[in-house]
Amino acid sequence: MKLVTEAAWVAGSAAVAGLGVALVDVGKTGQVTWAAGVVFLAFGCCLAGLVAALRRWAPGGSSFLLWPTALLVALGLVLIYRIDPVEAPIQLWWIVAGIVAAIGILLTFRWGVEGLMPVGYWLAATGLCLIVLPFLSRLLGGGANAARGLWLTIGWGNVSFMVQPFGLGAVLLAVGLAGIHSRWALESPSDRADNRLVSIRDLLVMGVVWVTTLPLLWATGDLTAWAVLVVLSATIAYAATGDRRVVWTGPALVGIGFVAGLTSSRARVTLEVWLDPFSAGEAGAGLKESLLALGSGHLSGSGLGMGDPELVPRATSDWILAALGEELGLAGTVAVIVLYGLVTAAGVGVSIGSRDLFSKVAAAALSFLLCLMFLASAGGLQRLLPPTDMGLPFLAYGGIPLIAGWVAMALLVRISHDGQGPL
Amino acid sequence: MNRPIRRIALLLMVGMVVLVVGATWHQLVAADRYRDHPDNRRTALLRAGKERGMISTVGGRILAFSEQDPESFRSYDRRYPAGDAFTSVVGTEGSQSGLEEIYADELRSRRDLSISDLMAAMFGEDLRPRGLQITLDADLQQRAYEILARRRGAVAAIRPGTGEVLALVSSPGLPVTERAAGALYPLGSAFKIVTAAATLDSETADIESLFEDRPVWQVPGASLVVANPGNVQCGDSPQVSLLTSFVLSCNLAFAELALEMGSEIMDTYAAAFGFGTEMGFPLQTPVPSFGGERSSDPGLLASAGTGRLALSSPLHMASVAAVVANGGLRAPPYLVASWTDADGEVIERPGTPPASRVITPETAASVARMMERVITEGTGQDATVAGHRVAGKTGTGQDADGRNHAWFVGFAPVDSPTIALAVMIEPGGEFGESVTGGTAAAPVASELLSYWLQRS
Repeated sequence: MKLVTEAAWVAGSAAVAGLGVALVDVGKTGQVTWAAGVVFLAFGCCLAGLVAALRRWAPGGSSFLLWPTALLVALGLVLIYRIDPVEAPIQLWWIVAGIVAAIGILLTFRWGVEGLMPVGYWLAATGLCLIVLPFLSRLLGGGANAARGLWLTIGWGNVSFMVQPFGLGAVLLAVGLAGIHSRWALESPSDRADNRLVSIRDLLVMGVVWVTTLPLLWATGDLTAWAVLVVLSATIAYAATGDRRVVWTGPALVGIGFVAGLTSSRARVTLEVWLDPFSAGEAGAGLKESLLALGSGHLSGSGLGMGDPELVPRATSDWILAALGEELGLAGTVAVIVLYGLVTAAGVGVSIGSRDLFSKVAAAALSFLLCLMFLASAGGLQRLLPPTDMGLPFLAYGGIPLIAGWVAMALLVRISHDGQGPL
Repeated sequence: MNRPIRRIALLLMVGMVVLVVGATWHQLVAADRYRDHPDNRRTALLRAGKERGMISTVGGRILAFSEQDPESFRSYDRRYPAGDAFTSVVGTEGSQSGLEEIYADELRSRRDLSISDLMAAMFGEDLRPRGLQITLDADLQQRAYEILARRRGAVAAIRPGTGEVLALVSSPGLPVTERAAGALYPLGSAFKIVTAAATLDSETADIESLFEDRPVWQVPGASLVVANPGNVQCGDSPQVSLLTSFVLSCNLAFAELALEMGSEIMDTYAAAFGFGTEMGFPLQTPVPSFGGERSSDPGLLASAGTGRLALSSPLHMASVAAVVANGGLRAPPYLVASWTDADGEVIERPGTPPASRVITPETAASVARMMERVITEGTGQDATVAGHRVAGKTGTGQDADGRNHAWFVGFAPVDSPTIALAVMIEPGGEFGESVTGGTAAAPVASELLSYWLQRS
């Protein structure tokens, strides 16, 4: 029975990808090309490999996490193929790499994830380093061309490409913080007695994240992406300790950071674009064109291949939700919100079902991170939050967010095995 | 430990619900505002690539049609097989003028793959674009464009009985600007057709009425002095008739007559001829004026009577000539003959506004006689067409910079007119800077009329 279910969603997701590519071809040229078959096969084989690894190394793992993820990845690939046929094969390779990375995680942690708790400091530190790379590259004289927003340009000679380390850094930070907080929570109560530093150390960790990421805010002006990190650190501290003080420290840190961040000219530009994208000139072009695309999509969208998402700058990465809204309409947008909601809910379910604290907090942290990134990206598009160019895991073009997303999924699946599988 | 996690999860789910509300706002409630936003380039793109209906003449000449792009599915290229002579009227895909722009919505294909259109198609509704048939005579238009080549000017021709527009030519054709109907030029003596018609129709004077013949005339009660062209007498006797004044285009009689009739009568007749009113034409048409509207200033009125202050377009002046040719009835000019379905079947004929009486048939006959004399012995002798009776009036209007604009306004044949036309030549081109109605516009009219009269 399980096999049938799993075969069904693997084939279903692969079919969505293949069919979507075929629809794009029909919408654009009136003919189906071989690309649809290639995508169906490649996507299907990768997912089948992932399921096989899941059965081998984490047989109790929940595949309820994986099928909405697979659908999102399929949808993202179709949209990228529609907007930029050159980027689509690259994205397909990144999807393969992401799934291979997920299989690697399942293999590496086939005896459990407990080993990550003691190295929490290192994970968190590495994550923070990755996150502030765009700031460092500016500081070290990479010049204006070396980074744009959260993106970094890496080049050898005349070959250069753009990467966004934010997503992977955030996943490492989430797992690391989960390790730090749950390790402290597991110490016996007598260890904490009468030590005022110990009583506020969980809050101090939030402060450390706040201080180390402020340069990022200053360098990129990306208020929303920065807020995701601070809110993430607060939710992890709260999940691990239940400490009420977090409830007011977290928002306070975000608020102070916002005000402090506004000393940066880039943050002020972001704010201007947010308040009025239609008169913010070149800086606001992305948000402006995205809103026009959203409105043009209306309820049912123009249909795949039949809208004009090319008019939106960086439509495959920063503004992929706008392309989605234009061609698949409000229906498509709501479907994607539901899919991310399902992934988040499934992740929280894994967390609640977990038996040991670190697994519980780590699963919660990863689910929260994923959900926060989606809220930030979609909220920025809808002008509920300042616009951000943070790469959306699974949907957007870009290797690192994709790999980070798959790594997070693999960890969640592994934790779900520990929680529900036979001990 | 699960409670904090549940709380945070609940908060995040609230966030997701807010996103659904936000998406509904942007993609449903405020969607039209974004879609129709002036910065949204989709509207133009949609228009550019889409199939649109054919524009053709009633005679069957194709002026514009859509051809499927062999390279790109669902995309059409617009073709203009009839050439430059028609661009000022038809417009082009990108230009913001012409019939292409004015009837953009009507010519558009309604097939846009939307659900409602697919439903409509299922019930057998024809969603293919409609075609537009216009009244232009393709050969006359082409001939007029060729005659005007290397000159700056415009020609308008209409069928007097019906108001069908036969030609509407602007030269040079590029850059595309429609000037035969869409611009006003100083009219000069060609306005005397109106003053003369008003005089005869109101029985203020008749053709043979005599006026004192002087080179210049100090208008009583005004500082203005009205002069004949060249500051000379009209004839060689002390008195000159209205007919001679008209034929030789002398000014004094018309200044005196305008004063004698007064502003009310002048206003009434000028308005009946279409001065000061909208033309009700699909193309952009500014409102012509004769310059003496509701004027209590005798100097202004006298001057307006000679045509010095009048501004008009060739299309409007062709319609003025048509009134005389049509026995005093004014049939407003129209361009759209019919709308057809994609198979070429006529599905709609826009009604033409009813003809209105401007002057009596007797007045029209008298004015026509005077206009014929202009050709046989007056300023319009260069408009003669051998073997045919032509009637017309020349004019030389000066703009604020003192540059002449040459006019010929007339019709032919006199006994049963088939064409009324107005030719306007601007300074420059092969006539140089000093153009006059008799030397620059009349020859063009002659060439065009002889082509038309020999063809029919």
